[in-house]
Amino acid sequence: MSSATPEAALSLEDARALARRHGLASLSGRPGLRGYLAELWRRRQFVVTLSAAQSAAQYEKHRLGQLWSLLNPMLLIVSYFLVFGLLLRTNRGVENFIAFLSIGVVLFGVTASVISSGAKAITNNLGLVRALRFPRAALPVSVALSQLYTSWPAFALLVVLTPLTGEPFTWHWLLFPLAVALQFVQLTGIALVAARVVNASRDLANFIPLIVRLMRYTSGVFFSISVFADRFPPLVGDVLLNQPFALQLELGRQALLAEHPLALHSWLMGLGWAVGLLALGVVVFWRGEGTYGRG
Amino acid sequence: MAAAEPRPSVIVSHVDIVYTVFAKGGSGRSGGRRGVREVHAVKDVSFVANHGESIGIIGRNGSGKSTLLRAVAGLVPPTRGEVWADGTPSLLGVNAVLVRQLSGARNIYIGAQALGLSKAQVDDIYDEIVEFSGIGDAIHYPMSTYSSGMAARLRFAISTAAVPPVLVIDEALATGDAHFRAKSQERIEALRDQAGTVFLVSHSAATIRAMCDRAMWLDGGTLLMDGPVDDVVDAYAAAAERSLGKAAPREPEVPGVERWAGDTRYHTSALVSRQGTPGRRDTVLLASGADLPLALSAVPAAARVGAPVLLTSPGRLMPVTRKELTRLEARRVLLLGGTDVLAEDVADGVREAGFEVERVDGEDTVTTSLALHATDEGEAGVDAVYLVPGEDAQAALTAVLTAQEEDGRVLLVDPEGPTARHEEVLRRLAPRRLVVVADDRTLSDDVVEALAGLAAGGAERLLAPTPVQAAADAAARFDPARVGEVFVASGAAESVSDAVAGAAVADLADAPLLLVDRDEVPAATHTELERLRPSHVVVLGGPMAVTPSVRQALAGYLGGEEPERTEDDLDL
Repeated sequence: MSSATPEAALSLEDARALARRHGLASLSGRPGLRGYLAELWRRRQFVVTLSAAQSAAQYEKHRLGQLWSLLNPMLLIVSYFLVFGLLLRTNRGVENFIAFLSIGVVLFGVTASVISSGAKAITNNLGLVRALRFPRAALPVSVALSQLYTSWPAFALLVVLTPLTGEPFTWHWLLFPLAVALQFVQLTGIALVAARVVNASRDLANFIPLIVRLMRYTSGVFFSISVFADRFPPLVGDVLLNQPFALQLELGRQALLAEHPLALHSWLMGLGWAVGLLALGVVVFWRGEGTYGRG
Repeated sequence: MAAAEPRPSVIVSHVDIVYTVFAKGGSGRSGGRRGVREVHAVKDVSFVANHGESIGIIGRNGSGKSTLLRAVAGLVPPTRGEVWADGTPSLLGVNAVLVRQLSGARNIYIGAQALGLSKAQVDDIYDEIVEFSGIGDAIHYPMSTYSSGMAARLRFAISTAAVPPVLVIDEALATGDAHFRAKSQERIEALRDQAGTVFLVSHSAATIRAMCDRAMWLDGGTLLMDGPVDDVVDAYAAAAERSLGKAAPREPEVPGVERWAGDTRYHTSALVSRQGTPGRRDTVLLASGADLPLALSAVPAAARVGAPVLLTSPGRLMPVTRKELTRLEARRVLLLGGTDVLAEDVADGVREAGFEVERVDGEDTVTTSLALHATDEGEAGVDAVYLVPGEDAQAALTAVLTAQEEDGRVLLVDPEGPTARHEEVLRRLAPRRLVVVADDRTLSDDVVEALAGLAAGGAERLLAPTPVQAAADAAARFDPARVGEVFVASGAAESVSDAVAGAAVADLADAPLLLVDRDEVPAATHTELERLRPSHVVVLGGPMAVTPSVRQALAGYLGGEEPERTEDDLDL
């Protein structure tokens, strides 16, 4: 048995040597980025389980259940059509406004829900964070993934609705899943950043809905940016067209709508945003590991 | 010992943990933000734990036990020093909830996979986890519907099913009935046989003696002693006795500012009752020290009938509590909660001591709070009912303090909102006002609106006043000319247990209760103390909860003299 505190004499170096001799892993501080990602990869099943559970819980309390993930975008499309198509006439320069608007509403709806729930990924899961040790990035990632699960009826809605508005089937449609995939990679990166920011200061959570709303009104959900962009200096127009949120919608429209011809540079730009934002998100989030759920 | 070198499972080397605490606003002057404060919770602790050992951690409230264990579990990175462990340690805490809105079944998968098991492995042990937890069909209901006992059992089953190399248990074994405790002890034994290491924090020296072979004694964040369990527990018990005999041996006496403090929350509660409610009491309310929001919510109702509220361990009747019950010559003892909240062993202990036991039955804290108020003898029409989230001790404290000013009651509510039973109880109480003490993320606006019809004056939200502010507001009703004694406790979350004892006694003594920070007198309290100028101040809680320098500063507010104000000028 242990006698009274023989270990007190152990210096940090001796302790480190003892730990190494017995293959113990350090729990202090955060692991290196590569080790962190490897650990996250090892917990991929956990991430999948958590996101499936979260998406199931999202509509569990409603009697119509997951039907709402279909009804919500439908009702939203109708109301946007009434306001912007019939009242405000923002459909200038758009031939198939219903399909244009539907793609905007559905894709931006996903963006809004990933960002707003991703921002709360840590603060809403303090029970898990305080009880179990795992790479915390699993939480924002699983939140993004759970929104992907929840949104499939809405994507299906687009695929059914678009031909009904007279759009022809072309091979471009095969690019739609790619557009969605790029969007999710981007959003995961943004969710990682937002989760860290909100964990550091909950006050900042109040800005998230504001930012999402600002993006909703400037990213061309219910009007064509290229029509309006002519009024601005070219630089402003380019920024409006190529910022990630607008580009997400543009890629979706290029895949599904004939009046939006495929443009390689849009897809390369989308790929760039996806890789860049994900890398940024991972690094920003990883640097905060160890601060999540404290206090 | 055998010749073979013991195999270490956890190495803790020169670990310091310093918390940065953001002092809440509200007490700040001229709206300015309070400073950032550092709390040095663990100081230069080193030890090596070996495979097959079970280690008990003892120490007073606030001695850094839980913080140290969270570092061992890898949940809090040390500020200095390093921790190594074999595999991923599993921490079993008191607030045993994973994802509340999901079913127990889903939580099993989430919890076990977070611990590193694969889905296939969880499939294999799923049935065993369900069976061990004894939850039955409820496994398919959301965990938010579970009692704290059920949730703790499930968490225990999940944490141990994976055979973690290192298991850290923080007071969690106190919940659950005797049968489950026996089962869990067996499982811990089995874990040690498989060369696991178990860390256990408990208020009960008996539990530590029974389950551990080694013990560590922490005091003020420092590791005082580490050795065979009997040696350490004996030394700790002897020291505890010494400090009980002489009041606060290391702290200078401050004339006019008394300190009532015990070694644990249970000792403090019993001591405060002894000093604050002399003479006998017909009815005494016994509450679990592990469910402080519930204990708090009972305070206004108890004060109406002149009943003191005593805290005991959820698992057994503490000897010190029993002694206080005997002194009070109680005719009947009301146990707050069903067997999941306060084990049957507690009831047995009370009966053995010769008292009549009545249970305010409820399978969890929320239903217990409802049951208590369903028998409330208050005549029809209380002034206000405060609805408080069932896990928010600080909100409960705010509500209790605000309710002191009037004939108010405090009801606990789940995040899902009030149930039909809430409505029933609210109709009975017929409050003139309903006050929801939670922000709209915890209880939505819909809930507040739905409640509006149940009170003549409608429902409103009480936001932001910190307990410190609420206490100062409540004290404003006292006339300085008639106030002699003022009670002072810490308003910090980790010291709420002292405030529970204080709120109960202050209510019965009709004296103001004011709150301070651990190491300073906040502005709101300062203003109120200057106005009241008490002749006598009682500090509730030990020097870890309210520092000796604050006690010294409180002397400055005693009748007539100009108070010394230095701390508050140190705002960052």
